[in-house]
Amino acid sequence: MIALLFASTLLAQVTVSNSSIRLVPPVSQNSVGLMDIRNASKTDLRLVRVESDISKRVELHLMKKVDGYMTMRPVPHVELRKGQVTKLDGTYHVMFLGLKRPLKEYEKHPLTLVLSNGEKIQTEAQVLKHE
Amino acid sequence: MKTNKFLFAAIILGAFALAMAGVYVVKKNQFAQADFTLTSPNGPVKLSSLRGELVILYFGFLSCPDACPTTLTRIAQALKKLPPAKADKVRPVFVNLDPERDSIQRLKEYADFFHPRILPLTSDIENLKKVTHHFGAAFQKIQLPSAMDYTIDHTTDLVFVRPNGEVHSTLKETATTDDIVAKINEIL
Repeated sequence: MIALLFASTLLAQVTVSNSSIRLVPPVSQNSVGLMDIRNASKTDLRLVRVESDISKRVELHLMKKVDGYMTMRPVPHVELRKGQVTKLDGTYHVMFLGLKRPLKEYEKHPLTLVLSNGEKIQTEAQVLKHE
Repeated sequence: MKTNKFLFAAIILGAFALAMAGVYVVKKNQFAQADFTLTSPNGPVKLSSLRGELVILYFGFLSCPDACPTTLTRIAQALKKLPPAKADKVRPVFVNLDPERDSIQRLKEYADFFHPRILPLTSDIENLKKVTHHFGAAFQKIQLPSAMDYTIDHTTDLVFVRPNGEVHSTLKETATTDDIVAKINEIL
């Protein structure tokens, strides 16, 4: 019981803000999700998966420049350090692969973030033009 | 007799070396005046036919989720910030690096979404390698343990080509809309 209470306290301590999905041309089959994840708990956690209905597959990716090349690779998880805000700002991002239908600007889609402790966090991401 | 054989071999070798040197020189000259024919939505286009306009080359692909749309959005916004008469002298060109997946029809839909002046061009891999090399760009296909199957690692510089066909300079992908406007104003 105490363990459960402790767990539920942890749950409330991870919050998500500024969730958005990039508006892409209707011909695009992929898009990205960006957000800020605050881990206010006393434990390091990991974002291990994101669930969404907008695409056939959802992955976590890391984009970075290596030797002059812009590269993008899937990653198994994103570290959420205790007491810090982790920005999925395009470097790390949620990758939606195989969009089921074209995105429309300003529409909102629910996303579920799955953490390494099993916790699931709901957020709503708005489709926005990113510049 | 033996001497004759050696002499013959030496002449053949010498001729071969001269021929190779000749090929090299010709190749070098061809490269200096390089022109490339690529596929546009309206058929083949020679890059030299774009002379008279300030060309902004950007190399990317349609499945590129973040870098390409960001840069194309900034180019489109830069065009909107310019007086229309000036914007009409600028031709952004989106050179596709993923001909395996991206048809020219899909590339046109993609480019039009950002700005109707953005001209998408594509070709086969061999030709694209020559074009990218000529403009100091590069790309490589990388298999991924992902539903994407593969991605294209690519350089992301914007290449500004003067209306006379000479490369003016480049901007990094971190360039803002205002940086792009300033560069256009510097050239035109």
